[in-house]
Amino acid sequence: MGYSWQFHVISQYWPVFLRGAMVTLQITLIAAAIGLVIGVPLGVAREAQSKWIRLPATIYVELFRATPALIQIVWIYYCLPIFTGIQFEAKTTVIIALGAHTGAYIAEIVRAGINAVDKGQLMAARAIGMSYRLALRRIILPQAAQKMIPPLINEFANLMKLSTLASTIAVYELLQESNNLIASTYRPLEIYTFLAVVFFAVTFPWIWLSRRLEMRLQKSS
Amino acid sequence: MSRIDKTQAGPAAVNDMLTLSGLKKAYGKLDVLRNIDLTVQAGEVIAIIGPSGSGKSTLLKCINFLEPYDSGSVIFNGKLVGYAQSKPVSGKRKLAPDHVINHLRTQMGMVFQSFNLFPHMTILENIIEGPTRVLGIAKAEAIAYAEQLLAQVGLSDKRDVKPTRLSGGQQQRAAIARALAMRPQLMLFDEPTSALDPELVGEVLTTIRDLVKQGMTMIIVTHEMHFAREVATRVIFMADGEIIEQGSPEHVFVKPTQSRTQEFLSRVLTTHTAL
Repeated sequence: MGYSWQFHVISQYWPVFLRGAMVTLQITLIAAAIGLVIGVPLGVAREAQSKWIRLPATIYVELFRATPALIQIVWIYYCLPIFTGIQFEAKTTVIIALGAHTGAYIAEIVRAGINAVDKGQLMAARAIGMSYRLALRRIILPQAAQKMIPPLINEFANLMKLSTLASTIAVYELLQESNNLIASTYRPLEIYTFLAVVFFAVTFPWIWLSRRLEMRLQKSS
Repeated sequence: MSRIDKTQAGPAAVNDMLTLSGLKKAYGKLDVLRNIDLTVQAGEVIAIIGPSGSGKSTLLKCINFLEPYDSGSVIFNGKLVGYAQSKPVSGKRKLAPDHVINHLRTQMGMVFQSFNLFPHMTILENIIEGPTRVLGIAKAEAIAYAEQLLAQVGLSDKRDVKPTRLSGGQQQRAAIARALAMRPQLMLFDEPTSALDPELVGEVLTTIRDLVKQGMTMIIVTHEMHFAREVATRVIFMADGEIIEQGSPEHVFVKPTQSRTQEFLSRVLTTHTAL
């Protein structure tokens, strides 16, 4: 191939990437926090004894898992204002949408974690007179949490990649900054390649950590 | 204390700790408990024997309502267990409020086949969890009693160890201590030695034997026939969700009248002696 790579654009424009990376990080962290706040109670609700608690939780989870995150972002950005008159700023929109989206997945992780705890544990807790809530808090969730950590880390890595969807509504995160830069430097190959490397570099350690923890957990049980 | 005095007026047999009447339970089309009537008085040691799948464990779990029964009643200390109404109203019965069921459970200790100790807690924490969190007993007091119980079951040196570090027999003894920590009036044992290696069965039976000596009221579902014969005041033989025969150990083990009891005993007792 006759293409001559010119990676100096990267070093030349590094503040642009840094700026984008900060926004990517901001979106990921806040959305992850929202996801936990939504997902943990939702996952517990999915396992509740009352059908009236279970049902809304199930609807939420299935709704958000069965629709693409991109549609959720676009919907909140363009459709929600028409119905409600509430218009969020682009970055806020992305954070809310991805938080709600990842919340559904976290709910599933929490539910799976609760389910993975031996049924005898709940029985033993109930047998000493614990209420379901107390048993959940003292006996089930502490054991489930351990099982939830690897998939949660994995979900966090996913979220980081999903944050690139923000570029579709012109939020200046890594991808959008890069697109902009390409428009002025005409070096898409270098910039996209670099971007792929950056995402790999920040995502892979999490995936690796998740797998390590999972293996350690398997060994200990 | 005198035994029941049937001539006395008032609610039938006030000395009965536990009365099951017409107890039925089905899983779908399978009838697990067909029509169980059973009365247990304070101080009795009841051994329930029978082939697997006969409903013994389910019966035990219906007593503390870990398994809801479908019809009939379980009366513990004069109180209906699990339901708010003694008879179904238009086919359904309202469940008792959760705190009522929980409170009744604190008075019945249960020991499981698979121990079910809480793996994220030390043995001591396992034992004081119920007293402190459910009964609201001060921690220092709970610990003092837990230490006494640990000494009783021979596990004083294991108090700060996590359950996975213990042998099966030790785990089961710790589980017995955990149940006793609630100061129950009735102990339910669900095949307490079935998950144990043969050489560990003895230590658990010794612990249970000590409880018998203390006069604890117990219902023990077991496959240990010699143990049942030795400690039980009454032996109940169950098959297909029914009580087929019951009586003193001599009656059930030596001269059972029902053919199914005889068949079962000849089967298990020969395999036992063959070991």
